[in-house]
Amino acid sequence: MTVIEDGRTVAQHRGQDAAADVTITTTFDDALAIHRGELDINAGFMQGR
Amino acid sequence: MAAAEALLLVLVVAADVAMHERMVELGLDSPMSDERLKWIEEAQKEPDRNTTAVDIADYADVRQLALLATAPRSTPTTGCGSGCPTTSSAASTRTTTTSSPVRSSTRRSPRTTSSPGSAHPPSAGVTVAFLSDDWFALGVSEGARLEPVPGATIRLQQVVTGAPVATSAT
Repeated sequence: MTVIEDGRTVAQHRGQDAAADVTITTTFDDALAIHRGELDINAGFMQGR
Repeated sequence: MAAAEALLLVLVVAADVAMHERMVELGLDSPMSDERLKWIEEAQKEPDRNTTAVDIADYADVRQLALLATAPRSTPTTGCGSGCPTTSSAASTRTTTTSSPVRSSTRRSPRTTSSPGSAHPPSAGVTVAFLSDDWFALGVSEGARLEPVPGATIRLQQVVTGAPVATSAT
């Protein structure tokens, strides 16, 4: 889970967050591509990935 | 279809359409696939296919905030990132069918473990293993240095499926 306040990451770790505002589900390959900058997260979302 | 799934479906379609229309309006290339556009076009020609209409105006900003909050880290050099046009409120209420090809609501596989991040994050510029403790710690240390975006505050749960190791979720 990740907590972002005013655009800045203040916490990030493994585990479920019952209070999460948004849950994003991705495959491992897509997640890796996003963080490598190879897949635009907006494009991936709009393409139903 | 459960009410939550129907709402998610409408949110996704409305966001797709609004984003596509806005990017076209601005003269930008829309990343929406031809297949997706065709499906939406066909659905709009057949109003009888529409089975659900939900006013999502009160929720439209949530997606934009999520993209705004995560864009600087995930799309540092490509795509529209935080420069994505804001979803038009005029297009935030749409109708859709229950036969969407959207898959996101059915792929969730919450296989997770829980452990705190490293107390001493590695320095920027070093290579760390994806989803490792060091990777999480680096995300915090680097994320704290981002330019502030007032209002972009969110708790985000990312579920990663099919990871080759046991630690598969953030």
